Amino acid sequence: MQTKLLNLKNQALALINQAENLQELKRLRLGYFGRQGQINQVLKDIPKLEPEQKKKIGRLANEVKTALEQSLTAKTKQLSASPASAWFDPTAPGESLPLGHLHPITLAIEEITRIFEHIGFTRVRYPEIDWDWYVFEALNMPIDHPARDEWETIFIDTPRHHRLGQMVLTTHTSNGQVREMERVKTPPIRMLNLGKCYRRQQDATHTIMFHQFEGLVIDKNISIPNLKGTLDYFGQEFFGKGIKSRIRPFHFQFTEPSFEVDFTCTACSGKGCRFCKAGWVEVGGAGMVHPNVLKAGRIDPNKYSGFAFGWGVERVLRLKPGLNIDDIRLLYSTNLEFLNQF
Amino acid sequence: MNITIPHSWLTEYLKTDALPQKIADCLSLCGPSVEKLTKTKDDYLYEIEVTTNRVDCLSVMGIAREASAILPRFGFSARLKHDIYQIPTRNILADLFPLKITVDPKLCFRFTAVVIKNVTVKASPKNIQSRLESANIRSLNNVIDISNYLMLSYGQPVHVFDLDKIKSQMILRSSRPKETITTLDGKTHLLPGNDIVIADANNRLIDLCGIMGGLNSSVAPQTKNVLLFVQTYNPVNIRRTSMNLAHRTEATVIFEKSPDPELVMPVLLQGIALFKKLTNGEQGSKIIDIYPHPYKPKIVKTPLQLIKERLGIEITQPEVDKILKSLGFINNLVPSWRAQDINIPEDIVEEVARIYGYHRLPSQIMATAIPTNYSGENFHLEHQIKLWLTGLGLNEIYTNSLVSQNRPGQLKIKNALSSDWQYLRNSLIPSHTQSFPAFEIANTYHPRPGKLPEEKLQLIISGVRDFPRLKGIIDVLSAKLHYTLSPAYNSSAAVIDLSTIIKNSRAYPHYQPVSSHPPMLEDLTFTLPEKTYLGPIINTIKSTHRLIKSVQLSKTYQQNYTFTITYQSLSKDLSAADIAPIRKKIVSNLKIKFKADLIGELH
Repeated sequence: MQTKLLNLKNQALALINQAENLQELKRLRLGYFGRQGQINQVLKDIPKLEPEQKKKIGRLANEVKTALEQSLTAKTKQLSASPASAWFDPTAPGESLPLGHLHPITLAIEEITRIFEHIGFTRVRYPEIDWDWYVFEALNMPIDHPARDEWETIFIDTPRHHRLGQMVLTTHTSNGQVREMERVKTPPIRMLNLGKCYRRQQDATHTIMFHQFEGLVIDKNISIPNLKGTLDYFGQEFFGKGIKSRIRPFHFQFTEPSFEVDFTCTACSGKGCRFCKAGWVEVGGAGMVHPNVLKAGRIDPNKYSGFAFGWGVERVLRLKPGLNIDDIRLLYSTNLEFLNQF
Repeated sequence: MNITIPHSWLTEYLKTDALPQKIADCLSLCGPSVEKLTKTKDDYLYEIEVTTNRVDCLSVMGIAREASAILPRFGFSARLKHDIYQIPTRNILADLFPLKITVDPKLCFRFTAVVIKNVTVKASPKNIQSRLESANIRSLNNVIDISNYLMLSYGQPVHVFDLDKIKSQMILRSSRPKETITTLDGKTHLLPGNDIVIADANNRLIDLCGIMGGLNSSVAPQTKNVLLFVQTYNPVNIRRTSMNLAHRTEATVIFEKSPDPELVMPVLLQGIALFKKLTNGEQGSKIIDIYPHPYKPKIVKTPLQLIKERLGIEITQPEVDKILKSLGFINNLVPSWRAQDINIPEDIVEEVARIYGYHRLPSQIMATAIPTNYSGENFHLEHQIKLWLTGLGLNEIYTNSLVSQNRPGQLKIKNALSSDWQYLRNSLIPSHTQSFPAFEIANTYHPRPGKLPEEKLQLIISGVRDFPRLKGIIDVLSAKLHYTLSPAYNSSAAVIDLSTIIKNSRAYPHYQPVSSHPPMLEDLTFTLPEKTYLGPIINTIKSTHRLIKSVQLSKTYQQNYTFTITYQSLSKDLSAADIAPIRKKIVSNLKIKFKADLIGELH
């Protein structure tokens, strides 16, 4: 009976495969699966078998049924779609299926994460509400330092901590620097801190809540060329082939030397246009970690050095070709017409 | 801070063969960034961004000095002309000083003053007027213009008093709380205390030092004799006063950044010369110079090895020395105008590197060890959840953590920008008012006494008005996570803590063997009492016997509910006899626990 079943299966599969139209398939289906079909004809002898055999044949019969069923379904599908059997119009509209969209900020965050993970960066998350110590003081910005004016800080209405100071909404992802040093304790460090930041301003190019990503690398003999290499790599990966980076002098309290980072303008490929300054666009700050910051994180500045950079996610997103979003408040507006484009 | 400098003024201090565009490009690469170069009728205007550490560059001469160090690296000739530091101090004997001066040395690091007598107050020459205007300073008269012109030229604020309006004495002291002064702009300030002020013999305040002079001692068209006044102050006091009074002037911006006290005397001498030239005024007293702690040259030693390591290149000591010399550093001695900015070897590294040219340094990703101690986060899963939800047709939105509504247990903002953003939300639900199905993963904030608030990462699915659909989304997500989610629901939203998902979900299922025996399906219909929860009913059926593979609600009509029950065994084909006792048990369980009645007969 086993042989009978297997023969039946092979024969049936061949016939199904050769079928040329749907009517023929229908005939085949009836011929095998119908009440008087061939499968039932074979199976009606099962009760006569030994129990052991019964079990074996039963299982086989199930398998044969499944195989034929699948083959019939597949062939039916194939013949239904075939232009030979029916009028086929590929220009007819498709069925409307549910279509959701990731937010552009998520798209950028994922891409940035992937790029830096490739070169060994560890993504971390640090508090959005943090102590003045981590946001400013440990970053070489004592109370009353004029450099603090650069950040439009939002303060929380809570009592100050005797050692760590006021509670604030972090103005930059740099609050992760000393926190990461405390977590890792001994270098190497290759951190990617990515999260929400807040500053007291809101207009077409600033939102009170925004996102930054912060890179921090600490090890022995980390040099300016290492920073340049990392920036060039990011530029190529994120903005595209042929994009170069450039660093220019700047000043931050928590890095020494400090840099302003530019990338080749993607709108004009570096030729110079109305979106850029002579072929370059500013992306944000970077620098070599200041020895005082290493000390605040209990890392010996005589043994280790490092670099850091921190930029706006919204900023790099807007510099992507085709994404020159004129009012970034749209990002946080739950505007469906905007979101559906991504 | 940005300053604007005309090319014609710059070349008064800089002799170079570089054209304006080249000067702008080279400065931007190696020094202060030229944000804009504008061509005017017969000149060029540089708009230059000067960083807070470079108070020495907030002037025409400061920029000229930078350019004289930078341009030769690009093959241009460049030399600083009329370096004010090189002008020898003249010692003109003149009349005694007419005022009695008392200075608190903790507040004022250097105090200089001189009388200029018989000035003629009139309009300034055209070129002075236009230079001031290019820096957005209004030309008033030659006397006031001199003070502004000196500040723009050298980066040292200068004040002039009408000498005849000061009563015999000047006491530079810190203010007492609630003293008042009316400044030149006519504004009256109630002082908080500890502000640097000058009082005269009548104890009238005549100067709010470092911010603005007093109206009562100001120069007017009738003024005959003036006091030319050049100082440096304690920057901390200046900054506090400026912040407290919300009053900032060009002078404040400079004074709060510790300008060079060595610059004070040269500027005073330039001032005397300018008064002679523009007002016909003569020096009418000896020069007062109270300078209790003169500048001692500062030494910062920097090992060549450190420079080589940070720059990642081979560079020789003579080349380093040459670069530093072009900036005024000689044998580890820091020039006075850089003293507040250069403190550690890394500061010297920056000077060498930028003048050498950052653009000339190599570019190379570090070849050091890759860290392996990861944080406890699972960013990948967060993203996977987002992908699944978009696959189900939901849109991701980002809403603001700051909210307008005051709910119990929310943190409050001390300096809210607007009433829309006064609190930090402790729930995502009020933020999700949109009408379309959406989701968000974001923090909520929960205060803890004496500590930072707990930042709880939550997933919200919202805007799904049809509850079975919302439940369906949760079911799909549960299936994907191999973990049954139990969110907090309201009519159109579900909220789940991410930490629970991360802790309980699995990337892979516990694999179940695939049965080769056919399943048996049957429908059982029960009449349930009103308001019976369906979840426990389904769970009760499901847990009746291990042969029950699944239970699905397939039909409801009034209080009648039909459940499709699938039985399957891994080891055999099930017969009616196998099922009968299980069915019996289901029926009795539901009867006892839920007062549910089976419709139809048991057999």
